[in-house]
Amino acid sequence: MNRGAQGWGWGLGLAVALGFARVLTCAGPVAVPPATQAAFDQLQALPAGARVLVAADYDAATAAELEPFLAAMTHDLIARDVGVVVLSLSPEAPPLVAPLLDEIVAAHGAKRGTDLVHLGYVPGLSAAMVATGDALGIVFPRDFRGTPTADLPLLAGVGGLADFDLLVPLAGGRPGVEGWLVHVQGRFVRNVVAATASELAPELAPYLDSGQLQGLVTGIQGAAAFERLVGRVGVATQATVGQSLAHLFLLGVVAFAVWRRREKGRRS
Amino acid sequence: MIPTLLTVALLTLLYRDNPLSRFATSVLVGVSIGYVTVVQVHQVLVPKVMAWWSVAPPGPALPRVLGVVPVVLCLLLLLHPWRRWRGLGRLPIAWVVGCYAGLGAVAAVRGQIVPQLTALMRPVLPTAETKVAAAACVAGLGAEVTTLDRWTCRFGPLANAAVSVVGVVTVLLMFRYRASDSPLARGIRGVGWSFLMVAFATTLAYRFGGHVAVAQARLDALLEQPAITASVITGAVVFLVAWRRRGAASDAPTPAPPPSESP
Repeated sequence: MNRGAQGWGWGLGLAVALGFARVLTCAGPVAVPPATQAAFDQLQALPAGARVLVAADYDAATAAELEPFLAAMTHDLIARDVGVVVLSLSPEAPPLVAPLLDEIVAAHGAKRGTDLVHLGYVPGLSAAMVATGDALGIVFPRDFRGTPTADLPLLAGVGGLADFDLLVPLAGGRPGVEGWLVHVQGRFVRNVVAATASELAPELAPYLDSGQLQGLVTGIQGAAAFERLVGRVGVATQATVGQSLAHLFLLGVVAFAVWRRREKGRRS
Repeated sequence: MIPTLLTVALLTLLYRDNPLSRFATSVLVGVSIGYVTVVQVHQVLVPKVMAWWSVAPPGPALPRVLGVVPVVLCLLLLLHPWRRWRGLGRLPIAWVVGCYAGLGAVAAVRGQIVPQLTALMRPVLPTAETKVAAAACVAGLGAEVTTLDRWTCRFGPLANAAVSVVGVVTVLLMFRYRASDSPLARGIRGVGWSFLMVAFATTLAYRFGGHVAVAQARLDALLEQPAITASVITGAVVFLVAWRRRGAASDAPTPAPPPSESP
Protein backbone atom coordinates (compact mmCIF):
# COMPACT_ATOMS: atom_id res chain seq x y z
CA MET A 1 0.00 0.00 0.00
CA ASN A 2 1.54 3.35 -1.01
CA ARG A 3 1.80 6.33 1.31
CA GLY A 4 -1.07 8.29 -0.30
CA ALA A 5 -3.46 5.37 0.06
CA GLN A 6 -2.35 4.87 3.68
CA GLY A 7 -3.05 8.55 4.37
CA TRP A 8 -6.52 8.36 2.86
CA GLY A 9 -7.16 5.14 4.80
CA TRP A 10 -6.20 6.79 8.08
CA GLY A 11 -8.23 9.91 7.39
CA LEU A 12 -11.32 8.09 6.14
CA GLY A 13 -11.24 5.55 8.98
CA LEU A 14 -11.00 8.27 11.61
CA ALA A 15 -13.67 10.35 9.86
CA VAL A 16 -16.05 7.37 9.73
CA ALA A 17 -15.46 6.64 13.43
CA LEU A 18 -16.06 10.26 14.43
CA GLY A 19 -19.00 10.65 12.04
CA PHE A 20 -20.61 7.51 13.47
CA ALA A 21 -20.15 8.96 16.96
CA ARG A 22 -21.99 12.09 15.84
CA VAL A 23 -24.95 10.03 14.65
CA LEU A 24 -25.21 8.26 18.02
CA THR A 25 -27.22 10.32 20.45
CA CYS A 26 -25.99 8.62 23.63
CA ALA A 27 -23.04 9.93 25.64
CA GLY A 28 -20.11 7.72 26.49
CA PRO A 29 -19.11 6.68 30.01
CA VAL A 30 -17.48 9.57 31.87
CA ALA A 31 -15.20 8.79 34.80
CA VAL A 32 -14.23 11.65 37.08
CA PRO A 33 -10.46 11.75 37.72
CA PRO A 34 -9.41 12.82 41.26
CA ALA A 35 -7.68 15.95 39.88
CA THR A 36 -10.89 17.05 38.15
CA GLN A 37 -12.90 16.35 41.29
CA ALA A 38 -10.41 18.49 43.25
CA ALA A 39 -10.79 21.32 40.73
CA PHE A 40 -14.57 21.11 41.01
CA ASP A 41 -14.38 21.14 44.83
CA GLN A 42 -12.20 24.27 44.80
CA LEU A 43 -14.59 26.08 42.46
CA GLN A 44 -17.65 25.01 44.43
CA ALA A 45 -16.09 26.26 47.67
CA LEU A 46 -16.15 29.83 46.33
CA PRO A 47 -18.93 31.88 47.97
CA ALA A 48 -21.16 34.35 46.11
CA GLY A 49 -19.28 37.62 45.61
CA ALA A 50 -15.89 35.91 45.26
CA ARG A 51 -13.61 36.83 42.35
CA VAL A 52 -11.91 34.38 39.98
CA LEU A 53 -9.16 35.30 37.54
CA VAL A 54 -9.19 33.13 34.41
CA ALA A 55 -6.10 33.21 32.19
CA ALA A 56 -7.35 31.95 28.82
CA ASP A 57 -4.06 31.31 27.00
CA TYR A 58 -5.16 28.96 24.25
CA ASP A 59 -5.20 29.22 20.46
CA ALA A 60 -7.22 27.71 17.63
CA ALA A 61 -5.27 24.44 17.79
CA THR A 62 -6.21 23.75 21.43
CA ALA A 63 -9.55 25.56 21.61
CA ALA A 64 -11.47 22.33 20.98
CA GLU A 65 -10.03 20.86 24.20
CA LEU A 66 -10.17 23.90 26.46
CA GLU A 67 -13.28 25.85 25.44
CA PRO A 68 -15.78 23.25 26.76
CA PHE A 69 -14.28 23.56 30.25
CA LEU A 70 -14.18 27.36 30.06
CA ALA A 71 -17.84 27.39 29.03
CA ALA A 72 -18.97 24.96 31.73
CA MET A 73 -16.97 26.70 34.47
CA THR A 74 -18.02 30.25 33.53
CA HIS A 75 -21.70 29.26 33.26
CA ASP A 76 -21.49 27.70 36.74
CA LEU A 77 -19.63 30.63 38.33
CA ILE A 78 -21.89 33.32 36.84
CA ALA A 79 -24.97 31.36 37.94
CA ARG A 80 -23.59 31.35 41.50
CA ASP A 81 -22.80 35.11 41.47
CA VAL A 82 -19.06 34.60 41.45
CA GLY A 83 -17.26 37.36 39.53
CA VAL A 84 -15.15 36.19 36.58
CA VAL A 85 -12.24 38.20 35.15
CA VAL A 86 -10.68 36.84 31.94
CA LEU A 87 -7.30 37.82 30.50
CA SER A 88 -5.04 36.33 27.82
CA LEU A 89 -1.30 36.20 27.28
CA SER A 90 -1.83 34.75 23.80
CA PRO A 91 -2.81 37.20 21.05
CA GLU A 92 -4.97 34.54 19.39
CA ALA A 93 -7.12 33.93 22.45
CA PRO A 94 -9.32 37.08 22.79
CA PRO A 95 -11.23 36.64 19.49
CA LEU A 96 -11.89 33.01 20.46
CA VAL A 97 -12.95 33.86 24.01
CA ALA A 98 -15.08 36.95 23.27
CA PRO A 99 -18.01 35.20 21.47
CA LEU A 100 -18.17 32.54 24.17
CA LEU A 101 -18.32 35.16 26.91
CA ASP A 102 -20.98 37.12 24.98
CA GLU A 103 -23.08 33.95 24.82
CA ILE A 104 -22.70 33.32 28.56
CA VAL A 105 -23.54 36.93 29.44
CA ALA A 106 -26.66 36.75 27.27
CA ALA A 107 -27.72 33.36 28.70
CA HIS A 108 -27.61 34.54 32.32
CA GLY A 109 -28.59 38.16 31.80
CA ALA A 110 -25.31 39.05 33.47
CA LYS A 111 -23.80 42.53 33.51
CA ARG A 112 -20.44 43.23 31.92
CA GLY A 113 -18.13 44.93 34.35
CA THR A 114 -20.13 43.73 37.35
CA ASP A 115 -20.38 39.97 36.87
CA LEU A 116 -17.82 39.42 34.16
CA VAL A 117 -14.83 41.36 32.80
CA HIS A 118 -12.85 40.49 29.67
CA LEU A 119 -9.49 42.25 29.86
CA GLY A 120 -8.13 41.01 26.53
CA TYR A 121 -4.51 40.42 25.56
CA VAL A 122 -1.29 41.60 27.15
CA PRO A 123 2.19 40.85 25.76
CA GLY A 124 5.19 39.75 27.77
CA LEU A 125 4.34 36.21 28.92
CA SER A 126 6.20 35.59 32.21
CA ALA A 127 6.97 39.31 32.67
CA ALA A 128 3.26 40.05 32.25
CA MET A 129 2.36 37.35 34.78
CA VAL A 130 4.57 38.93 37.42
CA ALA A 131 3.42 42.44 36.51
CA THR A 132 -0.22 41.33 36.80
CA GLY A 133 0.55 39.99 40.23
CA ASP A 134 1.88 43.36 41.30
CA ALA A 135 -0.57 45.78 39.69
CA LEU A 136 -3.41 44.64 37.44
CA GLY A 137 -4.56 48.20 36.76
CA ILE A 138 -1.24 49.23 35.19
CA VAL A 139 -0.98 46.14 33.00
CA PHE A 140 -4.60 46.49 31.87
CA PRO A 141 -5.57 50.19 31.87
CA ARG A 142 -8.59 49.28 29.70
CA ASP A 143 -10.61 46.12 29.12
CA PHE A 144 -11.13 44.34 25.79
CA ARG A 145 -13.88 46.81 24.81
CA GLY A 146 -11.89 49.89 25.75
CA THR A 147 -13.60 50.69 29.05
CA PRO A 148 -11.13 51.99 31.68
CA THR A 149 -10.65 49.21 34.23
CA ALA A 150 -10.81 51.77 37.03
CA ASP A 151 -14.53 52.21 36.16
CA LEU A 152 -15.39 48.50 36.36
CA PRO A 153 -17.22 47.58 39.59
CA LEU A 154 -15.89 44.01 39.60
CA LEU A 155 -12.32 45.32 39.74
CA ALA A 156 -13.00 47.89 42.45
CA GLY A 157 -10.37 47.49 45.15
CA VAL A 158 -8.33 45.04 43.11
CA GLY A 159 -4.62 45.81 43.28
CA GLY A 160 -3.08 42.59 42.03
CA LEU A 161 -3.56 38.85 41.97
CA ALA A 162 -3.67 38.64 45.75
CA ASP A 163 -7.16 40.17 45.61
CA PHE A 164 -8.56 37.19 43.71
CA ASP A 165 -9.87 34.11 45.48
CA LEU A 166 -8.79 31.68 42.79
CA LEU A 167 -6.59 31.68 39.71
CA VAL A 168 -7.62 29.43 36.82
CA PRO A 169 -5.09 29.27 33.97
CA LEU A 170 -6.25 27.50 30.80
CA ALA A 171 -3.40 26.83 28.43
CA GLY A 172 -2.38 24.52 25.65
CA GLY A 173 1.23 25.67 25.25
CA ARG A 174 4.16 27.23 27.05
CA PRO A 175 4.75 28.93 29.45
CA GLY A 176 1.03 28.34 30.04
CA VAL A 177 -0.07 26.75 33.29
CA GLU A 178 3.50 25.97 34.37
CA GLY A 179 4.44 29.63 33.91
CA TRP A 180 1.59 30.79 36.13
CA LEU A 181 2.57 28.21 38.77
CA VAL A 182 6.27 29.03 38.98
CA HIS A 183 5.95 32.81 38.66
CA VAL A 184 2.77 33.58 40.55
CA GLN A 185 1.63 30.72 42.79
CA GLY A 186 2.84 31.13 46.35
CA ARG A 187 4.05 34.65 45.65
CA PHE A 188 0.81 36.46 44.79
CA VAL A 189 -1.93 33.85 44.90
CA ARG A 190 -2.36 30.69 46.95
CA ASN A 191 -5.08 28.68 45.20
CA VAL A 192 -4.65 27.65 41.57
CA VAL A 193 -6.85 25.30 39.56
CA ALA A 194 -5.91 24.72 35.93
CA ALA A 195 -7.09 23.25 32.66
CA THR A 196 -4.67 22.11 30.02
CA ALA A 197 -4.47 20.36 26.68
CA SER A 198 -4.05 16.59 27.02
CA GLU A 199 -0.43 16.44 25.94
CA LEU A 200 0.75 18.74 28.76
CA ALA A 201 -0.96 16.78 31.54
CA PRO A 202 2.06 14.58 32.42
CA GLU A 203 4.23 17.67 32.87
CA LEU A 204 1.79 19.17 35.36
CA ALA A 205 1.35 16.05 37.51
CA PRO A 206 4.33 16.93 39.79
CA TYR A 207 2.67 20.26 40.62
CA LEU A 208 -0.43 18.40 41.79
CA ASP A 209 1.69 16.19 44.03
CA SER A 210 3.54 19.15 45.51
CA GLY A 211 0.30 20.98 46.27
CA GLN A 212 1.13 23.97 44.07
CA LEU A 213 -1.83 23.04 41.87
CA GLN A 214 -5.08 22.24 43.66
CA GLY A 215 -6.94 20.72 40.72
CA LEU A 216 -6.41 19.92 37.05
CA VAL A 217 -8.85 19.43 34.20
CA THR A 218 -7.17 17.60 31.35
CA GLY A 219 -8.33 17.84 27.75
CA ILE A 220 -11.75 16.93 26.47
CA GLN A 221 -12.13 13.97 28.88
CA GLY A 222 -11.50 16.22 31.87
CA ALA A 223 -13.96 18.76 30.49
CA ALA A 224 -16.58 16.00 30.09
CA ALA A 225 -16.02 14.95 33.71
CA PHE A 226 -16.37 18.57 34.82
CA GLU A 227 -19.59 18.95 32.80
CA ARG A 228 -20.92 15.86 34.58
CA LEU A 229 -20.03 17.33 37.98
CA VAL A 230 -21.72 20.69 37.30
CA GLY A 231 -24.69 18.88 35.73
CA ARG A 232 -24.40 20.47 32.35
CA VAL A 233 -24.32 18.37 29.16
CA GLY A 234 -22.12 20.23 26.69
CA VAL A 235 -19.77 19.70 23.80
CA ALA A 236 -17.29 17.65 25.85
CA THR A 237 -19.88 15.11 27.01
CA GLN A 238 -21.06 14.65 23.44
CA ALA A 239 -17.46 14.16 22.31
CA THR A 240 -16.79 11.20 24.62
CA VAL A 241 -18.30 8.64 22.20
CA GLY A 242 -16.09 9.99 19.41
CA GLN A 243 -13.03 9.73 21.64
CA SER A 244 -13.84 6.13 22.50
CA LEU A 245 -14.48 5.14 18.87
CA ALA A 246 -11.31 6.91 17.71
CA HIS A 247 -9.27 4.99 20.28
CA LEU A 248 -10.92 1.73 19.18
CA PHE A 249 -10.01 2.62 15.59
CA LEU A 250 -6.40 3.21 16.68
CA LEU A 251 -6.31 -0.16 18.44
CA GLY A 252 -7.66 -1.75 15.24
CA VAL A 253 -4.90 -0.09 13.20
CA VAL A 254 -2.24 -1.34 15.62
CA ALA A 255 -3.69 -4.88 15.52
CA PHE A 256 -3.79 -4.74 11.69
CA ALA A 257 -0.16 -3.57 11.55
CA VAL A 258 0.98 -6.38 13.86
CA TRP A 259 -0.97 -8.97 11.85
CA ARG A 260 0.45 -7.67 8.55
CA ARG A 261 3.99 -7.77 9.86
CA ARG A 262 3.54 -11.36 10.99
CA GLU A 263 2.15 -12.31 7.60
CA LYS A 264 5.10 -10.69 5.85
CA GLY A 265 7.51 -12.53 8.14
CA ARG A 266 5.75 -15.83 7.47
CA ARG A 267 5.90 -15.32 3.70
CA SER A 268 9.57 -14.36 3.68
CA MET B 1 -17.55 28.25 3.25
CA ILE B 2 -13.96 29.47 3.79
CA PRO B 3 -13.31 27.27 6.88
CA THR B 4 -14.69 24.27 4.98
CA LEU B 5 -12.51 25.04 1.96
CA LEU B 6 -9.37 25.43 4.06
CA THR B 7 -10.06 22.32 6.15
CA VAL B 8 -10.59 20.14 3.08
CA ALA B 9 -7.56 21.69 1.37
CA LEU B 10 -5.35 20.87 4.35
CA LEU B 11 -6.77 17.35 4.59
CA THR B 12 -5.67 16.67 1.00
CA LEU B 13 -2.18 16.50 2.51
CA LEU B 14 -3.18 12.99 3.59
CA TYR B 15 -2.93 12.04 -0.08
CA ARG B 16 0.34 13.82 -0.84
CA ASP B 17 1.85 17.30 -0.97
CA ASN B 18 -0.17 19.21 -3.60
CA PRO B 19 -0.98 22.81 -4.63
CA LEU B 20 -4.23 22.84 -2.61
CA SER B 21 -2.52 21.90 0.64
CA ARG B 22 0.35 24.31 -0.08
CA PHE B 23 -2.15 27.13 -0.68
CA ALA B 24 -3.95 26.39 2.61
CA THR B 25 -0.66 26.23 4.52
CA SER B 26 0.44 29.56 3.04
CA VAL B 27 -2.91 31.14 3.96
CA LEU B 28 -2.60 29.79 7.52
CA VAL B 29 0.92 31.15 8.00
CA GLY B 30 0.18 34.47 6.30
CA VAL B 31 -3.04 35.11 8.20
CA SER B 32 -1.41 34.16 11.52
CA ILE B 33 1.51 36.52 11.02
CA GLY B 34 -0.73 39.30 9.70
CA TYR B 35 -3.17 38.92 12.57
CA VAL B 36 -0.49 38.91 15.25
CA THR B 37 1.13 41.98 13.67
CA VAL B 38 -2.16 43.88 13.65
CA VAL B 39 -2.87 42.90 17.27
CA GLN B 40 0.61 43.96 18.39
CA VAL B 41 0.29 47.33 16.65
CA HIS B 42 -3.28 48.10 17.74
CA GLN B 43 -3.30 46.59 21.23
CA VAL B 44 0.33 47.05 22.26
CA LEU B 45 2.24 49.65 20.30
CA VAL B 46 -0.45 52.29 19.88
CA PRO B 47 -2.20 52.16 23.28
CA LYS B 48 0.87 51.46 25.42
CA VAL B 49 3.39 53.73 23.73
CA MET B 50 1.82 56.32 21.41
CA ALA B 51 -1.30 57.03 23.46
CA TRP B 52 0.83 57.49 26.54
CA TRP B 53 1.56 61.00 25.37
CA SER B 54 -1.78 61.99 23.84
CA VAL B 55 -4.14 60.76 26.56
CA ALA B 56 -3.44 60.40 30.26
CA PRO B 57 -3.41 56.67 30.99
CA PRO B 58 -6.15 55.48 33.33
CA GLY B 59 -5.21 53.69 36.51
CA PRO B 60 -2.33 54.52 38.82
CA ALA B 61 -0.37 57.56 37.62
CA LEU B 62 3.11 56.85 36.32
CA PRO B 63 5.67 59.32 35.08
CA ARG B 64 5.07 60.01 31.40
CA VAL B 65 8.76 59.80 30.71
CA LEU B 66 8.55 56.01 31.15
CA GLY B 67 6.74 55.89 27.80
CA VAL B 68 9.98 56.93 26.10
CA VAL B 69 11.91 53.86 27.25
CA PRO B 70 10.19 51.24 25.04
CA VAL B 71 10.24 53.62 22.04
CA VAL B 72 13.99 54.17 22.40
CA LEU B 73 14.59 50.42 22.80
CA CYS B 74 12.52 49.68 19.67
CA LEU B 75 14.48 52.27 17.69
CA LEU B 76 17.77 50.84 18.92
CA LEU B 77 16.68 47.37 17.80
CA LEU B 78 16.20 48.73 14.28
CA LEU B 79 19.92 49.64 14.23
CA HIS B 80 20.96 46.00 14.57
CA PRO B 81 21.47 45.27 10.83
CA TRP B 82 24.19 47.97 10.53
CA ARG B 83 27.55 46.69 11.71
CA ARG B 84 28.64 50.12 12.95
CA TRP B 85 25.60 50.47 15.24
CA ARG B 86 25.23 46.81 16.12
CA GLY B 87 26.48 47.42 19.67
CA LEU B 88 23.59 49.80 20.29
CA GLY B 89 21.20 47.35 18.63
CA ARG B 90 22.22 44.69 21.16
CA LEU B 91 21.11 46.84 24.09
CA PRO B 92 17.36 46.04 23.84
CA ILE B 93 18.15 42.35 23.28
CA ALA B 94 20.38 42.37 26.36
CA TRP B 95 17.62 44.14 28.31
CA VAL B 96 15.04 41.51 27.35
CA VAL B 97 17.38 38.54 27.91
CA GLY B 98 18.48 39.97 31.26
CA CYS B 99 14.94 40.57 32.46
CA TYR B 100 13.70 37.11 31.45
CA ALA B 101 16.83 35.39 32.81
CA GLY B 102 16.28 37.10 36.16
CA LEU B 103 12.61 36.16 36.20
CA GLY B 104 13.40 32.61 35.14
CA ALA B 105 16.08 32.11 37.79
CA VAL B 106 13.84 33.31 40.60
CA ALA B 107 10.92 31.25 39.29
CA ALA B 108 13.05 28.09 38.96
CA VAL B 109 14.19 28.30 42.58
CA ARG B 110 10.91 29.52 44.08
CA GLY B 111 8.47 27.56 41.92
CA GLN B 112 10.30 24.40 40.94
CA ILE B 113 13.45 23.40 42.84
CA VAL B 114 12.32 24.14 46.41
CA PRO B 115 8.67 22.96 46.22
CA GLN B 116 9.44 19.89 44.10
CA LEU B 117 12.33 18.74 46.28
CA THR B 118 10.24 19.37 49.38
CA ALA B 119 7.39 17.31 47.91
CA LEU B 120 9.80 14.55 46.98
CA MET B 121 11.35 14.42 50.46
CA ARG B 122 8.05 14.69 52.36
CA PRO B 123 7.17 10.95 52.29
CA VAL B 124 10.73 9.99 53.22
CA LEU B 125 10.73 11.98 56.46
CA PRO B 126 8.50 10.53 59.22
CA THR B 127 6.88 13.87 60.06
CA ALA B 128 3.51 14.48 61.69
CA GLU B 129 2.22 15.67 58.31
CA THR B 130 3.08 12.31 56.71
CA LYS B 131 1.21 10.44 59.45
CA VAL B 132 -1.82 12.71 59.11
CA ALA B 133 -1.86 12.18 55.32
CA ALA B 134 -1.65 8.39 55.77
CA ALA B 135 -4.49 8.48 58.32
CA ALA B 136 -6.63 10.58 55.95
CA CYS B 137 -5.88 8.11 53.16
CA VAL B 138 -7.02 5.17 55.31
CA ALA B 139 -10.12 7.06 56.45
CA GLY B 140 -11.02 7.77 52.82
CA LEU B 141 -11.10 4.04 51.99
CA GLY B 142 -14.27 3.41 53.98
CA ALA B 143 -15.18 0.87 56.61
CA GLU B 144 -13.49 -2.29 55.30
CA VAL B 145 -9.80 -1.54 55.34
CA THR B 146 -7.33 -4.37 54.86
CA THR B 147 -3.72 -4.50 56.01
CA LEU B 148 -2.65 -4.08 52.39
CA ASP B 149 -4.67 -0.85 52.18
CA ARG B 150 -2.94 0.45 55.32
CA TRP B 151 0.47 -0.43 53.91
CA THR B 152 -0.44 1.21 50.61
CA CYS B 153 -1.47 4.41 52.37
CA ARG B 154 1.60 4.42 54.60
CA PHE B 155 4.27 3.40 52.10
CA GLY B 156 2.65 4.30 48.73
CA PRO B 157 3.96 7.89 48.73
CA LEU B 158 7.38 6.57 49.75
CA ALA B 159 7.36 4.14 46.82
CA ASN B 160 6.32 6.97 44.48
CA ALA B 161 9.20 9.10 45.71
CA ALA B 162 11.63 6.19 45.31
CA VAL B 163 10.47 5.55 41.73
CA SER B 164 10.85 9.27 40.94
CA VAL B 165 14.39 9.32 42.30
CA VAL B 166 15.37 6.14 40.45
CA GLY B 167 13.87 7.55 37.23
CA VAL B 168 15.66 10.88 37.47
CA VAL B 169 19.01 9.35 38.41
CA THR B 170 19.00 6.57 35.80
CA VAL B 171 17.93 8.89 32.95
CA LEU B 172 20.69 11.36 33.86
CA LEU B 173 23.27 8.57 34.14
CA MET B 174 22.06 7.05 30.89
CA PHE B 175 23.14 10.14 28.98
CA ARG B 176 26.37 10.42 30.98
CA TYR B 177 27.49 6.80 30.35
CA ARG B 178 25.95 6.22 26.93
CA ALA B 179 29.27 5.07 25.45
CA SER B 180 30.33 2.74 28.28
CA ASP B 181 29.90 -1.00 27.73
CA SER B 182 30.16 -2.26 31.32
CA PRO B 183 27.28 -4.41 32.67
CA LEU B 184 26.38 -1.70 35.21
CA ALA B 185 26.16 0.98 32.51
CA ARG B 186 24.06 -1.32 30.33
CA GLY B 187 21.71 -1.95 33.25
CA ILE B 188 21.38 1.76 34.00
CA ARG B 189 20.75 2.48 30.32
CA GLY B 190 18.03 -0.18 30.26
CA VAL B 191 16.23 1.25 33.28
CA GLY B 192 16.64 4.86 32.09
CA TRP B 193 15.44 3.94 28.61
CA SER B 194 12.35 2.26 30.11
CA PHE B 195 11.52 5.43 32.03
CA LEU B 196 11.95 7.54 28.90
CA MET B 197 9.75 5.22 26.84
CA VAL B 198 6.99 5.28 29.46
CA ALA B 199 7.15 9.10 29.49
CA PHE B 200 7.07 9.33 25.68
CA ALA B 201 4.24 6.80 25.39
CA THR B 202 2.15 8.68 27.96
CA THR B 203 2.68 11.99 26.19
CA LEU B 204 1.90 10.40 22.81
CA ALA B 205 -1.31 8.84 24.11
CA TYR B 206 -2.47 12.15 25.57
CA ARG B 207 -1.50 13.94 22.34
CA PHE B 208 -3.56 11.50 20.27
CA GLY B 209 -6.59 12.23 22.45
CA GLY B 210 -6.07 15.97 21.96
CA HIS B 211 -5.78 15.66 18.20
CA VAL B 212 -8.91 13.52 18.06
CA ALA B 213 -10.76 16.30 19.89
CA VAL B 214 -9.60 18.83 17.29
CA ALA B 215 -10.52 16.47 14.42
CA GLN B 216 -13.94 15.94 15.97
CA ALA B 217 -14.57 19.68 16.26
CA ARG B 218 -13.61 20.21 12.61
CA LEU B 219 -15.75 17.27 11.49
CA ASP B 220 -18.72 18.65 13.42
CA ALA B 221 -18.20 22.01 11.71
CA LEU B 222 -18.05 20.31 8.28
CA LEU B 223 -21.18 18.27 8.91
CA GLU B 224 -23.15 21.34 9.90
CA GLN B 225 -23.12 22.37 6.21
CA PRO B 226 -23.31 19.04 4.37
CA ALA B 227 -24.09 20.51 0.92
CA ILE B 228 -21.14 22.90 0.95
CA THR B 229 -18.84 20.21 2.38
CA ALA B 230 -19.86 17.70 -0.31
CA SER B 231 -19.29 20.30 -3.06
CA VAL B 232 -15.89 21.27 -1.70
CA ILE B 233 -14.77 17.64 -1.32
CA THR B 234 -15.93 16.87 -4.88
CA GLY B 235 -14.07 19.91 -6.18
CA ALA B 236 -10.91 18.91 -4.29
CA VAL B 237 -11.03 15.34 -5.63
CA VAL B 238 -11.56 16.58 -9.22
CA PHE B 239 -8.65 18.98 -8.80
CA LEU B 240 -6.35 16.28 -7.43
CA VAL B 241 -7.24 13.88 -10.26
CA ALA B 242 -6.59 16.59 -12.88
CA TRP B 243 -3.37 17.63 -11.16
CA ARG B 244 -2.15 14.04 -11.04
CA ARG B 245 -2.95 13.43 -14.72
CA ARG B 246 -1.20 16.59 -15.71
CA GLY B 247 1.81 15.58 -13.62
CA ALA B 248 1.82 12.11 -15.20
CA ALA B 249 1.66 13.65 -18.68
CA SER B 250 4.54 16.01 -17.99
CA ASP B 251 6.60 13.19 -16.42
CA ALA B 252 6.14 10.92 -19.47
CA PRO B 253 9.44 10.37 -21.34
CA THR B 254 9.72 12.49 -24.44
CA PRO B 255 10.33 10.46 -27.65
CA ALA B 256 13.92 10.54 -28.85
CA PRO B 257 14.49 12.67 -31.98
CA PRO B 258 15.00 10.68 -35.20
CA PRO B 259 18.66 10.25 -36.15
CA SER B 260 19.72 12.92 -38.58
CA GLU B 261 20.83 11.72 -41.95
CA SER B 262 24.44 12.42 -42.69
CA PRO B 263 25.06 14.30 -45.92
